[in-house]
Amino acid sequence: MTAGPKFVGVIAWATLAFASSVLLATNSQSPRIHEISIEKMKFASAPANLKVGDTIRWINRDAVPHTASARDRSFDVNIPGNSVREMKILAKGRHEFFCRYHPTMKGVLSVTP
Amino acid sequence: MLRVMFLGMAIASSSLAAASNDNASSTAATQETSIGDAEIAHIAYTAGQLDIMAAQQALERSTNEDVRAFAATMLRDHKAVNDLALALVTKLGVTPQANPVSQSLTDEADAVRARITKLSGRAFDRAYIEREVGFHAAVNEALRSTLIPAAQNPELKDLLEQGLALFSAHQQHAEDLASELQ
Ligand SMILES: [Cu+2]
Repeated sequence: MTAGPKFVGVIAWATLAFASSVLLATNSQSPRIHEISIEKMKFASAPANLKVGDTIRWINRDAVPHTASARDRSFDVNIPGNSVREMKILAKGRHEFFCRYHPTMKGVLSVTP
Repeated sequence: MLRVMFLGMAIASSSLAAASNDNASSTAATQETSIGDAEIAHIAYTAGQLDIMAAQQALERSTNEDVRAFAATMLRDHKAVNDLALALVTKLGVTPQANPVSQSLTDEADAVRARITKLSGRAFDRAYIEREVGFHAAVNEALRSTLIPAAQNPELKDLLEQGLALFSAHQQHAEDLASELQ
């Protein structure tokens, strides 16, 4: 009868170890979603550690449409007023972007492989 | 340009009293001089409509790609904001009230439209963009110094603040274009 709790303890430990290894794998490899909001005619600054395969979720809180358009043409997304649009990051590197409708709006995505 | 500056002064002076009313305790003074939400809504909406008409004229007359893109943005943005403004006044049960400021905005815009319709090519582009710089500068100054401080309804105030951010970007865009066209 004393083996019971010990056995359960081992399983719990094993489960925990398994879970944490999954968590680590998730952190280092699985694509993630990053939000960049647009408000009062400004792009919020882009998050660091963006990786190819991650998703950018553009959240436009303005009433007017904006675009997020890369100068190197690697992406060009239309974001209607008060809407959300997602895009997958396909290319590594430093991508300067701007809004085609409002050229005073600018930002940069820095993407590692 | 002078006319546009005068216009800005007209907006500022005719509603100057309203801004100072915020600090005044006398309700009698408020009654006399205050610019109400109904007037503010009319001024903001009128400014948007006038800029839409100016953009339509530019799209008819200009062949410059950058000028046309700017005009298309004015059309798109001012329509979006005015649609919101209409929805808001409807929701609030406010009937926009014509007033001397919105009338002088309209008169001024009519005069400019008539004057620059005789121009073409680069002369037209310059005149249109210069007009856009002045118009947005005047409207932004009015929003900043008078209309936003005087607005009572918080949703209207918020919409005007969004408008100020938007029209400031428009003004900068127009200024950049103006120096490109030099
Ligand atoms: Cu934009």
